[in-house]
Amino acid sequence: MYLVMLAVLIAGLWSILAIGRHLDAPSDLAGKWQLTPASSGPSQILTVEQSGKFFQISFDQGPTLDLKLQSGTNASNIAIGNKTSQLLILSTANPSDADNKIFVLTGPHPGQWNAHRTVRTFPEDVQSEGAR
Amino acid sequence: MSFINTFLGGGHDLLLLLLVQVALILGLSRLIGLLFQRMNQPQVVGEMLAGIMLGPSLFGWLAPHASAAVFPPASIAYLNVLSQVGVIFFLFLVGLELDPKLIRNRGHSAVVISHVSIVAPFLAGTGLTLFLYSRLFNHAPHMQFTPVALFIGASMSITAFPVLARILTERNLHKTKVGAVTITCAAVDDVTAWCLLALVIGIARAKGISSGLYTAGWATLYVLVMFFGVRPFLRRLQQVHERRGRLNQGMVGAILLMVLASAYITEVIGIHALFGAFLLGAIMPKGNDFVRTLTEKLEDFTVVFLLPIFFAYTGLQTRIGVLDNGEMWFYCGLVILTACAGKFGGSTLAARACGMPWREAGAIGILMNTRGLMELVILNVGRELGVITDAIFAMMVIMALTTTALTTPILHLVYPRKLMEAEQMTDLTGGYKVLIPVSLPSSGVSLVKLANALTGEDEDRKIVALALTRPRDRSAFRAGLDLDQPPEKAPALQPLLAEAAREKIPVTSVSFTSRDVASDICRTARLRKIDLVLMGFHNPVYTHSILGGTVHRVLTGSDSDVGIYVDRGESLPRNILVPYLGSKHDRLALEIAGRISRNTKVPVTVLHVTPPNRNQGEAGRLNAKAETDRVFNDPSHALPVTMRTIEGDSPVSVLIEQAKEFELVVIGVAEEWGLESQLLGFRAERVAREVACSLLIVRKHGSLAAAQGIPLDSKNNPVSAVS
Repeated sequence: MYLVMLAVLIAGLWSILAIGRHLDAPSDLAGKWQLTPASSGPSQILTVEQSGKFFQISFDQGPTLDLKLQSGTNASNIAIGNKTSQLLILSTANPSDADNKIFVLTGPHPGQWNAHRTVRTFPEDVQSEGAR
Repeated sequence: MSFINTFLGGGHDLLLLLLVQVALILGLSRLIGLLFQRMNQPQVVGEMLAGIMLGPSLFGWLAPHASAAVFPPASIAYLNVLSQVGVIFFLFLVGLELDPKLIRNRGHSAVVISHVSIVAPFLAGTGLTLFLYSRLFNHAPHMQFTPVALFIGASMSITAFPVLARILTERNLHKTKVGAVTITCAAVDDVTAWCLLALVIGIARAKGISSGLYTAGWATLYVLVMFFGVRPFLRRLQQVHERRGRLNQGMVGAILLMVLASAYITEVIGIHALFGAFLLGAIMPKGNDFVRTLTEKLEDFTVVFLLPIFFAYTGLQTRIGVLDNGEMWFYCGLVILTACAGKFGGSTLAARACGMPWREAGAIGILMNTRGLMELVILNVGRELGVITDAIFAMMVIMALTTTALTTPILHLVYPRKLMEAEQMTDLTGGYKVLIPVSLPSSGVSLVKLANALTGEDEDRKIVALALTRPRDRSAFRAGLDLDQPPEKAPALQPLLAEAAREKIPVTSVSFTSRDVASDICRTARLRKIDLVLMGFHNPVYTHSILGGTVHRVLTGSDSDVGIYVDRGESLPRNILVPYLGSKHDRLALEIAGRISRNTKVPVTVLHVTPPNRNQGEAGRLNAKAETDRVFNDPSHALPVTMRTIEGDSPVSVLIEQAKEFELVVIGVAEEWGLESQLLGFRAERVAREVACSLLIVRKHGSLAAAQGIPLDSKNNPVSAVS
């Protein structure tokens, strides 16, 4: 019986991890972004809180919007939005650069912005974060 | 903002802010905790909820400015440090509470259930991650599928041993099969889940295979050193403690240093500080006063002061507001459902497969599904590691609260008290049975002497001594440590048992933890088919009434007859006075006096007080005579009884005067004696106060209303019937 239980555990876990390895989570955009307008105008700070495909974005002078991933789970171009607003996140010349993007906004503060992530919610260096 | 600036302007202001925060946290935590306790919920559920209330989910939502002023982001780091220290010591206490005997001496069913109760939720959790990963997790380096899935699996496998032990002892389930199996499984789950978590943390922090091997190697070495190097040292410390008979501050300091060092080493190795604290507690030699004393020294400060800060810190990180749409709540429901299906379903089915009836199997499943604050500890580790998002954190916190809060009510449904009582029902046959609940050790001696006089030499007689201990005023702790204490070791029973041994009086001891002493006395009397509950008297805390407090509740709530013994003499009486006016309580008083007289040959005088109007008084006197004849009619030998009839307006005054000649008055609780009305609240207990000799106040079982109606009811009133 114990052997059966052990076999179920190992087989089940192995299967789950094998399938899971092929899954993709939405790109990590969580953190603080410095938005510089592509044309002219004042800069903005945008805070992005993200749980998978659910986003809450807050401009430093308001408003706060609840958005949901619309397309591009883990692609270079991502669209998030709700009924009234949309944020299109485009890659720069270097698609693997996760901290520099181009934001195209409709709704509040519309326009195109050069976005640079100044603070990551989930830092890349896991070891140093864990040991904090 | 100025408020924050004032607070954060200097070191003193920061200290002031911290003091305000901690005071608020402790105050609310105690308040909500006690409120939940009153609702028959574990106190820890209330404390967890209080923490969430202080965070953005309630306080920050209702009063964002006030919340930002009291908990400015800059101050949260300080709370975090305090909460981390609290959790480290809490895990050390959890380790201390872990009894290896529970794990070693497992029956077949406990082995199977404990394994399934880990494997099933672990697989369910990792399986759920397949569905949630692309919906609620981010594509970040530390949020790879493997560590996320393992973490979710581990967090669903946890069982809150301390809360569980508390629920079991409070419901007196710990000595049943359900309780024994559950506590064993929870202990195994505890150890396994923390080892599993250490593994997950190692994987999550590892930067590659070599890093993982490095962590695994050091972790193994660390565990070996703890078992073969540190444990013998702890045993020597324990021997020093035994020689000295006390735990001095030097030894406590050394243990605290070891806790910190162990936590530091495991943090450096990469398997988290909590594991080090837990392991040190777990390897501590058990079954002695050393662990008990050490626990007592540490737990109050940890559980009462530091843990609420941890709850508040968790609450400040919990944003239930992120679950702002139906889809999110659907995922939250799914998390709760999976957690319950894995833990509750797995444990229940495993118990059923081991041959336990469905109800018992269900009870085990529900108990194992209790996650309590252990889940919060794990979740905070996950958050610190960065393997879970805000939404998952909030959902898992809700899951922890829900599963813990549901335990008691569902347990009541699945495994009702009636069923449990039916299993515990004993002593259905036999002679006269007396239950002696003892709270003050000194009162036990006179009670057992009186019980002996009441039961005589009858071979079938049963005298049951009952000691009830109130649960300790803390969230969960130490319940498990006292599980094995035999009832005859209960301190309250020691003088009684010593006297019983000296006089060769057969006494059965019963002892358990009780939150509601009065109802547990009544319940024990019902389960054991007790004829008379014999209680001592001591001044109630909140009232001057002799028949107030617990005594009042037992008198009015018991299904058995009740006697309250006000002992004002050294030994058994040489004569007894029984005032009789005809109520059923008076008849009981006669019967009890008759029993004592039959067994000890003590002479009894029955006092009947008639009003000055002769016509009314004669009927009552005749009734008293008839009843006395009935009770004292013993064909084998004549009992020494005399009847005394006295005229008087006030039966109470007559009684007080007559009682001067006697050493014991056995009196029924009745309106005429100024006692029955006291049960309802107001009239003074003159008899009890002014009679100088010992007093046994008795009450025939039955509802208060019925008792009051009896003297007026011709059908039931022998006075009327005889008249």
